[in-house]
Amino acid sequence: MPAFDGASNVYARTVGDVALAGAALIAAFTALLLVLRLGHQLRRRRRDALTATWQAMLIRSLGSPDEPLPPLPRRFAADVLCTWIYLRECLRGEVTERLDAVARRAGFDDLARHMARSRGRWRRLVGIAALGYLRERAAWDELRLIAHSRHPVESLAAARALVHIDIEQGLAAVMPLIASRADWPPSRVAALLQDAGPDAMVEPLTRAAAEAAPASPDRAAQLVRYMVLAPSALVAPHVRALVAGTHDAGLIRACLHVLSNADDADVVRPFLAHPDWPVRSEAARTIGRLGTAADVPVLTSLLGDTAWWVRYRAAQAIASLPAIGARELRGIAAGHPNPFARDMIAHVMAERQIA
Amino acid sequence: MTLRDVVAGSGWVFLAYFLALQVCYLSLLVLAAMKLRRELEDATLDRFPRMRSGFEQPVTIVVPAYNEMANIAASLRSLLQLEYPAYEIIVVNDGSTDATLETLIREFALVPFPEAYRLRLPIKPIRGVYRAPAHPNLRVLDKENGGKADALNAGINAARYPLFCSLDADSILQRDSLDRIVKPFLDDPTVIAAGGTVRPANGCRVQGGFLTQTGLPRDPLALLQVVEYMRSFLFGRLGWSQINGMLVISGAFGVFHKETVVAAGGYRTNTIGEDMELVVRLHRLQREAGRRYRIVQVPEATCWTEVPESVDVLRSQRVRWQRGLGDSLTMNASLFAGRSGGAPGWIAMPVTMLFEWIGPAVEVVGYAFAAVAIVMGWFSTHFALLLLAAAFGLGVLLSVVTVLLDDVAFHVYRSWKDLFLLLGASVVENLGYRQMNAWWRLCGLMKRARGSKERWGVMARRAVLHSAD
Repeated sequence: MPAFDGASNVYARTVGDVALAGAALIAAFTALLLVLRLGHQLRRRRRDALTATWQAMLIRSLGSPDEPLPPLPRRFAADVLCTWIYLRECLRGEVTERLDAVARRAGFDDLARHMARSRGRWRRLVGIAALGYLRERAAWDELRLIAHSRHPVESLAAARALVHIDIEQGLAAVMPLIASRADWPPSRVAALLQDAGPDAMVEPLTRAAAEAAPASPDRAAQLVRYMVLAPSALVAPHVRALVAGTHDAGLIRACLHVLSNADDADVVRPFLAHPDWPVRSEAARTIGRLGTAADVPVLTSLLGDTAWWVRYRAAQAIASLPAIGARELRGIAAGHPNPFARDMIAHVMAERQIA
Repeated sequence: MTLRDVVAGSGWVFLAYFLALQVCYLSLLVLAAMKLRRELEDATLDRFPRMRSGFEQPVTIVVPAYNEMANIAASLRSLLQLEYPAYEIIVVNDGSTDATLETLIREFALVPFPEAYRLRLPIKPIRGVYRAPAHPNLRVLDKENGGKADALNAGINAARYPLFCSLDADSILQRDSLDRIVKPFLDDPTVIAAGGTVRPANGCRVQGGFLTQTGLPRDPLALLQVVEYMRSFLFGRLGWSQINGMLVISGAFGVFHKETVVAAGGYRTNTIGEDMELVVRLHRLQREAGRRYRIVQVPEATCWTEVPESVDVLRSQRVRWQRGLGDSLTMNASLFAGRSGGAPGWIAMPVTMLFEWIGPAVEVVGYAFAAVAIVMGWFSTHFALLLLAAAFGLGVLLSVVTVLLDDVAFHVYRSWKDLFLLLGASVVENLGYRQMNAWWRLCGLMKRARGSKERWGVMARRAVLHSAD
């Protein structure tokens, strides 16, 4: 085996080459860093100035629709479009129409279509979002295709754009995806449904939940959770039907969480004795909202439940019921044989006094 | 076999080890760059205002505190102002011997609270629970001293929400840090843990518990740690995260799915590296159970923390970290190249064992061997210098590329002066600091082998969170 004993040694040469290559790379990366930093600074300065100008102009144009618009520099077009989307999301009502008109006059519709097809993902995402806000019906098919793509962020952005273009048709197109795609984050789906508005979502959402319930109750449960965004009176009949037709604990919990009419208390009460503690806990919580003083005895018995959350929700429910004050709560605690129940009453009483 | 053969063989081993180490680090760097690019692109729409829906999962922030009277009030004030729709804060006073509890009671007008405490993970006795009338989402648990892991477990027991965030009391979050670190949990239901990026707060301007201006520390030791943290969090953890092989989430700032952690038994109290041990155990248990899961690094979720400026404190910290690393790996040895090991068991754990755990021993022995070999004439000085230059060059290269990546992606340190200081630190840290670290870590390795016991790390606080500059 050769030893490491001379400059002519093959290993020494290899190591020397590595050291040289390392030094060259350090020099190259350092230079790159400096060039990138300089370029970034210059670009940022120009971009900030330009977007500030456009922002001011867009705001002015809300008052005077004939405000002249300068040509859009291609290089910063995506940044200007971002500024427009930001403003569009901040505003509500009639004024958004004026903002859309200005955008069309500035050529943002063509730009958005072009960007939605670009290779860079962030440009594509901005383009998709803009197409939605501009209600570009011509891009419908393209957006539908993207909504079915595998990439969750892109597909969800396209689904949202479809809803922006046409609420009814958009919801019809995306609801099957909402029901089936586990990779769409619930918080983002909820934002999409909020954009559609509470009334528009009821019919497609309840239908999708009813269709999903027999085969995939977990998906149905997720759809039911979105129903808190809809008017409770409209969703309640559907939720009652769902809860009556299932034995799935997750779906029952989701349904109980949504029910908010006093009439629904009778639907909820049987679940106070459900074998799964999360269902008992949710039922106790719902009874706290919908129940009456007549529910106190069964809730009091739940104060001795083995599950902490059931005891907690039962105590909270009792404290929320009408005609239950500190004196009644102290009475319930004093008469309860279970020390955990007494502790829980004390806990909730202190919590309420503080809150 | 002659002495010459032994020397030649050893030279080969050190050279191969050194090359393998650099290849691993460069691979991680490439993985991290890929992941960073994708994440930044995917976050395009997050900056628009209508992304909140009220469906964000609520989070319990657990802040273990032991003798933290200097920073705790400022730290809490900043936590109470985070941008997140639903969260609670549980401070666990772990039997502090200073006035941590008294400070909290005074600053937040705490009152005793008869909490029906839920004992899910075994802990040392709770002495009292307090609530702040002005801040309904703040609770303080006062308990007997049991160490950081015990304090975290006490906080988890009291947590109401499905996610919990472990946060060091001497750390400060940016207003949007919690929002950012929770995002992977919202986007992907298989995520069970997420780690944030920890950056040194030394040299930054802090007002009202919030970091108002970034800056680099004047202290050279702290400055070197800025580059070190950058390298560790930006390319180390992010690279591993790309293949779901991240073995550590800093105890300073991480978010976990509570029920998964409770099912795993919570934090272990018999190790000094409870943060890493938990993550390795989560990997092991999820893999053994055949569950789909992800443990991720969130580079844009930043937490700022005070780093040691004294050699003694730094040494003690590194010794503890090395011991914790050893505990984490040995306590979960069955993950190593096991049937269900996957990327953590087959790639991350072997690499960590080879280069992080026993790495310091190889490095120190390598230096000693090279020195002896030169003195004895076994190596030519020329060769030794070349070897040193190669090691130095590749070390600097990694740091420079990390600084580049960080600057392009986050642009945290904005002035040119800071950039040049970071580049300077990238060079200087390879001339002594790295070797010093290797020595301390070797001490940690030996201390662990001897089995001496350690508890909470003691760090002389300068109350940087209170200061205006």
